[in-house]
Amino acid sequence: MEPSFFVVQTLNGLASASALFIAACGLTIIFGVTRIVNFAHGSFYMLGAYFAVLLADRLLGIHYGPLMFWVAVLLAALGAGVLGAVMELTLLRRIYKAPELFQLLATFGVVLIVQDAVVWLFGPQDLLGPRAPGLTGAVDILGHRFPVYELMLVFAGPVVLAAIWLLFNRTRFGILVRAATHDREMLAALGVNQAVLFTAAVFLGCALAGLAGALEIARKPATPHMDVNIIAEAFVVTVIGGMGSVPGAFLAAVLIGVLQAFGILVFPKITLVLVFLVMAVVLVVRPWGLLGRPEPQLRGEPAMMLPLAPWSRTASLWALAGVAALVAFPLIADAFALKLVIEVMVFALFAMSLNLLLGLGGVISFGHAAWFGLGAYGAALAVRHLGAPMELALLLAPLTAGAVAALAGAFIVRLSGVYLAMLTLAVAQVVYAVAFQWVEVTGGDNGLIGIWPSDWASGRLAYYYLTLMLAGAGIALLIRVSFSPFGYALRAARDSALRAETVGINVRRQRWAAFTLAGAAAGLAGGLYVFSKGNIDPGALAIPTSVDALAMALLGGVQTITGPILGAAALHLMKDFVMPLTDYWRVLLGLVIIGFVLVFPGGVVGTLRGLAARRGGEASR
Amino acid sequence: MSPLLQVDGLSKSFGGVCAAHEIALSLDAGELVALIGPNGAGKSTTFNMLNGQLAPDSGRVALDGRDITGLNPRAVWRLGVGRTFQITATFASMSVVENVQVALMSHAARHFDMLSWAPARERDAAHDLAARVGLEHLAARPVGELAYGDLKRVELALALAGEPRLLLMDEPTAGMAAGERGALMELVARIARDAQVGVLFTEHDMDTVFSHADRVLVMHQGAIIARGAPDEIRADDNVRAVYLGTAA
Repeated sequence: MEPSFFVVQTLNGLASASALFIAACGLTIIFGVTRIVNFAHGSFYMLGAYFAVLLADRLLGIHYGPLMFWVAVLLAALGAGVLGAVMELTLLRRIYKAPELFQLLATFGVVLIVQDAVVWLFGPQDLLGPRAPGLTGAVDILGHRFPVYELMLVFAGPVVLAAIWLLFNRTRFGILVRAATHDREMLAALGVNQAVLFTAAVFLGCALAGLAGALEIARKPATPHMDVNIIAEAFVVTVIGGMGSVPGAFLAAVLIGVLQAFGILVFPKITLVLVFLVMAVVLVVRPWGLLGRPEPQLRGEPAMMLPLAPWSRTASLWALAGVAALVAFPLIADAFALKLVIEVMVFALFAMSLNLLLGLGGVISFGHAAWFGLGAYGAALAVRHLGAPMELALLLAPLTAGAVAALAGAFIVRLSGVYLAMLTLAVAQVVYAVAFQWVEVTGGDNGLIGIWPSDWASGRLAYYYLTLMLAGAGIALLIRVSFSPFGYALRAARDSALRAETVGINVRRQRWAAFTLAGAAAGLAGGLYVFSKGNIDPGALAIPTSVDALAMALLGGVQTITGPILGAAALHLMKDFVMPLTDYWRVLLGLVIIGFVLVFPGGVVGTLRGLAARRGGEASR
Repeated sequence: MSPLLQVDGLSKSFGGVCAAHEIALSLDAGELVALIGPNGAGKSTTFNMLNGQLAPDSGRVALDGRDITGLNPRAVWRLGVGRTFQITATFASMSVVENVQVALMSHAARHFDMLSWAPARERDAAHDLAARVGLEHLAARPVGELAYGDLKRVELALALAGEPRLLLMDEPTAGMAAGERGALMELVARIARDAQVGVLFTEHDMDTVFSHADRVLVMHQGAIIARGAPDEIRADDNVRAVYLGTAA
């Protein structure tokens, strides 16, 4: 490689590092102060970009010049910050004490709402911004032409870093932010007004996200998908840097930016994989990130530790009645209803597999789509490339997913809490990236089509009974495992890892086995899914699929055994009936998720049981 | 014959602070030994090294003549060492019986059994053990709802589930009412004598120590400064100085 080319490529890397850092440092500041992982951070980045495009068009129309461009960028950042403050006042404020899982889900609800709001306000098409006046040209660097705007970006990152350093070290506000990051309880005990501080921190963080988005408009258009793309990378940067550490985020952004700039030359196919692999390696070597510090003491999550109702005779009767109803259902159902119930059964198995980790294990998996998708792709690839029949493919689905889950799980269970959730997300994104980028094998964005069942099962009715049998067996097994000695030990490890270890239970190994089993069960669901549809694309592996599974478990109640089945039915039927009626179903789903987090912090069944228990308790007093 | 527990030259430093220095002690089966000392003397650090929570910098721990230094808490438990904590650690979402069942199933190495029906496993043994620590009337209650004194009894039941030869009890009666303390310690003493279990316990309440311990060890600033029968310790000037601060 020529030295001059090396220099230019490094500059390219640093330019994207700057954009990444500005977006990610807002995320890390918000986490540091509020301990909330703001999934909606990408949404404020996107809003910043849209605001900047519109404002710059308007302002440059009044007077063309650099000043107006930068005024537009700053106003856009402020706008994103104000909306962030609104989110803090209306939503975050109510969930600071909620379990981490609910915080992630609630902010993902905001993602869904903003996605539809952006399409509604600005239209579905990409919006191209104006180029920055005065920075449109290129300079000559060692014989290569290099855009001036990119060169400006190279310096923007360090400038923002310096500004934040000054803010944090020279102002009262900044010192309070650092103190809150260090020890929140102590700060509260000293009488600092936390409410104002938290709102201000979220305002600052979201304004930085908006600034990062606004700076992008001179390089690329504002699109309705830019939120999810940036959030995955911003998560990677904050996690690698250490959550809460601004210098760590800078270091990580430079690492990722430069790695991508050169990675694209060496491995053009797997740049996305590379990014998440780096994160996985860093987390395994330094579980708290490069400059992060261990969480003081992992707080217990009482909301997740409600007693599990014993399996009663009534429960067995209900289960029998349910199976009988499903067996008899085709007598009254039309083809559409059969298809719907097939999907509900598939997602019920998927949600149940997640709940083994979530409810019993206390392991927050934010990338459960990986195992569903691996099962689906495993089956589809076996059919496409090995000529396997459906029966073999359906066997390979749980085996593939289970094997990869065992491999990834061995690293994942070394972590806990938010870091564990982020690593599961990273693993899922690696799998997604492979499916998306390895076009020759996976068909890339188009996926694989024409994956049909064997002849005997190709009729809708036959496939309905096949699904009922396999998904039913999977669900029955998961219920049995929940009440097995293994399930008890898994729950014990969730309640008190310290005590579990001192009565001879290896907490990591227990969680690892649960992770593998959950992966295999989700893989079976994926296999059944692909043959019911006849095709599969990377969407099945994407973040929204993971969130669907979480939402299903949440709707049903995570500390119940059978709740996720009801949650799967509720969510899937809602989607199926509401989606065709409106273009804005995401708003609805987002509001439902947020509503449930606020109203039913223990899920529907869990909350109802909690109420019943309280009433019973009062009556007996 | 070697003693049940033999500890030699056990030391641990955190940064530059020496939390435990050259600890040596031994304990026989059926014996109740109290480890006392002011806060920060190094009692919990010593306990944590004995059951494998902490790796010592140097020294040796032997159980029945077998070197167990550096083994993890799981392995130490399986060799017959039960532990209770100063701040209780129990399975909050489970009932008293279920807590004990988990420990019994683990003791029977069934905790990877994914197919048998756990509610029916070790049920009678768990009820017996709950009754033994005086919790039969609360057997079905989730431990998350129990009073603190009862939680201490759950801890004892969990420690006993492994059929221990040695019990390490970190402040077993902290947070209990005075009458309850005596009752619990009598229970522990009875178990020690009947099953020939050695008991090492830390305690702040001197009445409890002097009325139940066979021998007393006094720790101060990471070292054992006195040892002997309760009466000797009561009369020891050094110990008085540490507790009352009359001389340095």
